[in-house]
Amino acid sequence: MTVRHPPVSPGWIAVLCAGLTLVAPQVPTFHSSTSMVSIDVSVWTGNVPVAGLTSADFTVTDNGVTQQIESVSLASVPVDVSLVVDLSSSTAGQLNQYRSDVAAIANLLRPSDRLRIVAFDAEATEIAALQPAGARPPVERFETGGSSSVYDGIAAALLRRTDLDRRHLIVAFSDGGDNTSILTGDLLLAAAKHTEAVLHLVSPDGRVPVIEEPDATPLPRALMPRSSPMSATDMAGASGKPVAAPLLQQVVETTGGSLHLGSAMVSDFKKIFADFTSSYVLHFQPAGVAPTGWHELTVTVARKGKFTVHARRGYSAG
Amino acid sequence: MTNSRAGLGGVLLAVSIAMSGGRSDLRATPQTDAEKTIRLLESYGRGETRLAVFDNPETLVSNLRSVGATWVDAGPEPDRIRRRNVLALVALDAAANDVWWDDVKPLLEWVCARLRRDAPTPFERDWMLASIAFTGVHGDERFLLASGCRPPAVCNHLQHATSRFPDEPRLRFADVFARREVNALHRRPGFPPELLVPALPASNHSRHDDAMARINETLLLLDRAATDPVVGPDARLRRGVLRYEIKDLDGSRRDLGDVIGTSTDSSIKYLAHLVLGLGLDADGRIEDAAREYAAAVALNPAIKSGATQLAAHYFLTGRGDEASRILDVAFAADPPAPDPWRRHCGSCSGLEGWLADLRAMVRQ
Repeated sequence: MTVRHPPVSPGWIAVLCAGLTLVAPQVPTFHSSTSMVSIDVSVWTGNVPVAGLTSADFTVTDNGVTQQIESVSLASVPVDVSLVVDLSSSTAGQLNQYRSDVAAIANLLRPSDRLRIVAFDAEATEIAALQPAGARPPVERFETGGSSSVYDGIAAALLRRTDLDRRHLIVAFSDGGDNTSILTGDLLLAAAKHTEAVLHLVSPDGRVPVIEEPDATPLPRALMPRSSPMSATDMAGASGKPVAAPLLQQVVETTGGSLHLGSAMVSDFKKIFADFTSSYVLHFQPAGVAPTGWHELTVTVARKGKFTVHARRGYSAG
Repeated sequence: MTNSRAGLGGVLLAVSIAMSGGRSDLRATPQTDAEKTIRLLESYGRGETRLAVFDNPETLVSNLRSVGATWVDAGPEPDRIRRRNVLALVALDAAANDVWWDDVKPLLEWVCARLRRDAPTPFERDWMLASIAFTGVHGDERFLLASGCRPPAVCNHLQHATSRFPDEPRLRFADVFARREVNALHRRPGFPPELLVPALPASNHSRHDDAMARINETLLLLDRAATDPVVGPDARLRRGVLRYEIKDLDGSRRDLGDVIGTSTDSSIKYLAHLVLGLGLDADGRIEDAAREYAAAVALNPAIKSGATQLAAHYFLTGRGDEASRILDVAFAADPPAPDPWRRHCGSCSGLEGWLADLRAMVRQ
């Protein structure tokens, strides 16, 4: 069963797009400055992360205006990893695999990193609050349940603060659509535009969890590509006309994360984590753009060659 | 210590207890299932309430229906009703176990049929109310109704209960409450009506028209229940939620505001604040909505639905640290707090009291 969420309410449109009267400048500005913008950027050529880039190698536009990159740092700061694990009834046959996978993932973290585990079925549960890397995750607490509250599970991680000297990586594992969240899709998407965390979604069965929206034509599941990663522009309806990306995909890509379809939990995490910990953090002071509202970002690599760049799509300023 | 009128089983049990030095836990002593059953029933008759002698519901149910029934009927007539009640209480306790529920609910209907052989009593009334509350606890209201329940032989429990106590408002209005609860997942404004209530099985009307007819019928029933002193607050809450779902947001606000002002039930008030907030959100009144979520969280900070909504609002309005703290509190609760958003069980509020009364009534 799927739930049809209402369209974005006029109040949130007002908050997110126009006046922003309620939005304080907490996000997306980086902790150290209220006006500096920071972007996590990973650069790949094929399956290999590209190292050794400098500020001269990047071009950043903010609402179409090219920005002066003030510094580039390698993201070697400690990471808080939140794993969000779907334990709804459709995953019942994979419970033991999930337990061993999460235990294996915990062993991949560096000593300075921390791990939080959120599981969800109809309700989200924090299986482990942030704990030091190396602590054994209490995976025996995993139990599969009924319906699926994907939004609430992701929100349980996305809405948490990150300490000043750390970065936050969220990796959600889910194979199904949302049907029982209290949180609506528009609120989760709005939160994604405000967060500094990077969210990745791994769908072991190779499909994007689809949530039907009242004003959108849901993409037929058969049209979901099984390759990874997939972007919104790759997807088209039966007529060949591009259709809106599933909401969860929009949420993921807004944070600068990706969808990972049809592969194993541990190997996907390994790649995501390696990417995240070897990514660049670009800092710039916005210039020539409005001080408030939604800012669309583009990041490109100004070098010869074919690069895949992952970075957040934009930020809300107020 | 043992019931002198317990017959052969009681004698055997007395012997066993004597051999064990009087300990009440005899699991170390080999016993047949029949002996365990009689021992269990007699211990309940003394006020003990442990089902631990059976580790699976199938054995318990089958022995209560055979050995238990014989034990009841073997008692001298003045004691037969008390023994019958003891057996009924054991069945209720078994129904409390979430994992056992599907196996135990046929036992409840079997007990219900046995209770109905005799004249109604206060024990039976409380037993009926408690058994209906357990359907709410387990989210299996279909057990109460004549249709949609599997297996069909164990359905329609509500009609059986109501036939015995037609003036009991909690039974009279349980029908409409049960029908609403089987669709409780669709708590969003603007749902297609056919998802809000099940379409009628056969009709010349479209699914949509059928659904609208069911919604209107439900609203009329809730209107009648809304003025009842016992179930009125719950009926007004449910009417407010249903009006929110069909996008009658003004009507919903009136009902929910009234519930908040008059109800003393914290679970009812919590859900009223929460749904009032959702309705205000749908109308674009974000700050007012946040105030309602905050009121819900103040009632119980460990419930996640309100905490999540409030945290999202705080997060999006620049109060990220507060958002995080709210979620820290909600997710730290162990065991997790039951969430009325996930399951509102209006019939559950008297459950503890009914069980206590039932235990007192069977104790010798």
